[in-house]
Amino acid sequence: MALYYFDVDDNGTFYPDDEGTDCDTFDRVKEEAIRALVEMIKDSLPDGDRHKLVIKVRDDGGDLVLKASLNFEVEAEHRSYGGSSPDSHV
Amino acid sequence: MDLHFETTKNALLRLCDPADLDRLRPHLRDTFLELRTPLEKAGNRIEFVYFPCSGLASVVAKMRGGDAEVGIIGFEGMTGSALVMGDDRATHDCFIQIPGEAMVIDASRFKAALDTSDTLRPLLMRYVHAFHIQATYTALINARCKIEERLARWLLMCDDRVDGNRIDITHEYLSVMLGVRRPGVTVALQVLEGRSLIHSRRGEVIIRDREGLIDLAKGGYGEPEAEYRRLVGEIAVQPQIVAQREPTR
Repeated sequence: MALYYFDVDDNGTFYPDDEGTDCDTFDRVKEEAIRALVEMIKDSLPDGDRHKLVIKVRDDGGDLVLKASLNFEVEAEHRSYGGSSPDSHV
Repeated sequence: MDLHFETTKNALLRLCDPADLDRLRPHLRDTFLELRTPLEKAGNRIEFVYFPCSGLASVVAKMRGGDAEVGIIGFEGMTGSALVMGDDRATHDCFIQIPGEAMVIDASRFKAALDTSDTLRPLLMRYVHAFHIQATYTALINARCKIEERLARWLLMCDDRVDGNRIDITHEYLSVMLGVRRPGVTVALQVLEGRSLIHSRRGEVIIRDREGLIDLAKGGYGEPEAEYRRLVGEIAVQPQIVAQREPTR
């Protein structure tokens, strides 16, 4: 087991992890980061057309070992529907 | 040791009919439960029933993808709900989350008291029903609420059950309690701290603004507590330190 620190950058707001999590393998570190990104973005969206959520994982020595990020982006097309489209309920 | 005094610290023992308390009293022992003491093990026969006087026990459901807390038991309740309902096995693990005193009785002695009394089981069934209502709200909240709202509710439930306004808990255990990944807990704690609702340090959380947390929990806190009061009785057995709402910045 080794301690890893999962620092979060949520749209530019930095949340440092000062407690660390024990993970036995690097695959566990990766899974934890990915699942956390999915859980957290679910809480944030919808909150606008852009959202960037990043998790950077440090090991006990302070070295960066993993960076996982989600980039959310919405782009409106020119011929956007006015709400009467038959597809609007899909 | 003043046994009578100790039994009044648990809400259920305090509310027992005097004759029922007399049935239980010869078999009740005073004990101190350390952090992570297992009280029940999933699938195993229940050997003892604990009536906490202080501290907190967690009922935790386990699956391959991770564990999640499904019940909180403090001085307002008891372990061994299954026995009240006619079963003798534990469905989930139950262990001590915050150390404290408890009155403990052998499951066989407890069952004998249930079987010889007309009043004990009805009282305890009302508690088990309130405990079930708590779990139904946990299901709703875990399905529909954000991590910070779930954290607010959990902190309030702990605050109701511990003396003072300090809760000793690591981020790692909070992630099990809330059924979320660790990074989400780290962020939620810092968001609540940023709103001056709590003060979070390594391994502990201090409640600063109870009313603010209740607002944040969006109805997840309050309803099950009201149901407990309706079914069992007033929850305020221990003195509570309730922080006043601080002026918003």
